Amino acid sequence: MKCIEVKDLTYSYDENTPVLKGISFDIDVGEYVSIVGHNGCGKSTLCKLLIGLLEKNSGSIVIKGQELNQENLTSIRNKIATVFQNPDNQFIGATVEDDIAFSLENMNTPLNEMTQKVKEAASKVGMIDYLTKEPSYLSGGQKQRVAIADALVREPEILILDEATSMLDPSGKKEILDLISQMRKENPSLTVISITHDIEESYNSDRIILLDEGNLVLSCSPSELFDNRELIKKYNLTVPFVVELKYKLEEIGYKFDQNPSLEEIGEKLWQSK
Amino acid sequence: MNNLTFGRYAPFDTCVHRLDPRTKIMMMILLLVSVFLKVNSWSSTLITSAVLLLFLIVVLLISRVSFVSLFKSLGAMWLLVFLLVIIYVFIPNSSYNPNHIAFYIGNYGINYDAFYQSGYIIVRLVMMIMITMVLTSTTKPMDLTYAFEWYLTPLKLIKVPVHIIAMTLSIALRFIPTILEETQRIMKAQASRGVDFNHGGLFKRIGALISLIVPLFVSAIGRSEELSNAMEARGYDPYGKRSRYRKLHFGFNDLVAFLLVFAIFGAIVALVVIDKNFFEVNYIYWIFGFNPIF
Repeated sequence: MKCIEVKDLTYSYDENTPVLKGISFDIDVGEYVSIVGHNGCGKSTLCKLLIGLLEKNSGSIVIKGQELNQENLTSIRNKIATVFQNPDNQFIGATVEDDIAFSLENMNTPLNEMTQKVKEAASKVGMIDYLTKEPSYLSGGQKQRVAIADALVREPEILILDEATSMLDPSGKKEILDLISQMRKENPSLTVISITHDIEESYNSDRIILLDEGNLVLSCSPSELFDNRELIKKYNLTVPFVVELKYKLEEIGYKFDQNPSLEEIGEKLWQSK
Repeated sequence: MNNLTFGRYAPFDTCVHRLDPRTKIMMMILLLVSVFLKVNSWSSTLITSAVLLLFLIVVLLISRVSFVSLFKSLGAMWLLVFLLVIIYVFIPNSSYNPNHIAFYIGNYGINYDAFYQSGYIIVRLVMMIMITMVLTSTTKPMDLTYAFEWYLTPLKLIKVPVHIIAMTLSIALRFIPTILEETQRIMKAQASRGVDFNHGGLFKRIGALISLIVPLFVSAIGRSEELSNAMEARGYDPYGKRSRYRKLHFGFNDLVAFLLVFAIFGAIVALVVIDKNFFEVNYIYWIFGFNPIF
């Protein structure tokens, strides 16, 4: 079943500079899709259109069989959880527990249910000891974990990460990515859309959608993309460390399977003379 | 940031901290009115002020408000006090008893009543500061907004969006530390580009401040947009029905505290209304052996 169907979507902030020039793609239920591209290619605009923060110029967005419009905006938004880039600017409550409760308050959840859900979500992201802490006492990674807890209590069908890890240090980034893969394991029908600059991150996703100057230029699995060195060159992409290593080794005569992991490459090197 | 410590919330766990913020606000209003009510006779004024001052000192001790920060805030008031004394002493006042002249400056008689009046005003100001300090240092700012929202609820009848005002207020409070952090970051960044915030004449300093304020505003506006996006994405609808995570609870302790303060308030109001001198004995006369005023 299709989770999101986007057709001929266009958007422009003003008449002369279209940001999205008619893009179409489908996303299946349970899929993990990365949307990548250079600055100003329209990634974040696409994200805002999907959750109805911006209104499209033309085309259609269908989410779970419902066409997104003003009337069903609230009901569709309740299916989607979004984690944004800046940890500070999405922390709404005064303390961790107030912030996690914010989404529940919006859904008019009764109080006793709310307290229980807040605790559950906080312990899932490992922030149960910080419930009464204020955001100024938390690190960026911890704040982003709270944002994930917010997303969890909304019990979403779609999780959108709008460069959620780009302001974090490597360990914070790893924590967040681990949490997401854990969430996907617990709920296989969770669709994840990750808008990212980080090519390493997109390497682990099911599919990569590449945007370039408002056009969708490519939609394929990571291994297909990274096997095609002409495409990489054409769109001036950086490649993950593993892929780069593979390229270099291939230049001096090694042969690999489509999508080797670091361990497999090591194994190959170990076995060769 | 250290000069912002006046009345800042101090996270102790005393019985004053545990009171319902609504009770505390009501008690603060009652006490402020009591302090500024003018009791008619002079000796009643002395007694009521002494009782109030003693009560406030006990409350300060119980709620573990730091006396150091109290004196610091009083220290910041010295200019006001100085002006008050000047005004009371040198401006002629028809209510002063012309027979109570302390001394003459040239031809102008300085009245004892003037010193008494200015002293009384100063004591009342000190008590006012004590009262507000107890409120702000024992109550989280967020709890204060909840209490204000509760008090403003009747305004919903005339279509005032009370919950929106309260949400705005609580977000403003939430972002104070964030914006302060940002301010310091920008100050450091500008200082590293050669802007001097601490030296130079008035115009030079104002120029330096502009280099702080403009980027601060730009970033604050950017933040507010991202914040409103995040709120909308998390399903915030200002006109929709929302449940509350924080429930205020009016308990037995609140009742006791409120009745105590109400008793003090009632006694002082009674003194004012009955308008009779209950304390015929002139204590000053006892202490000094003479009466400078009467």
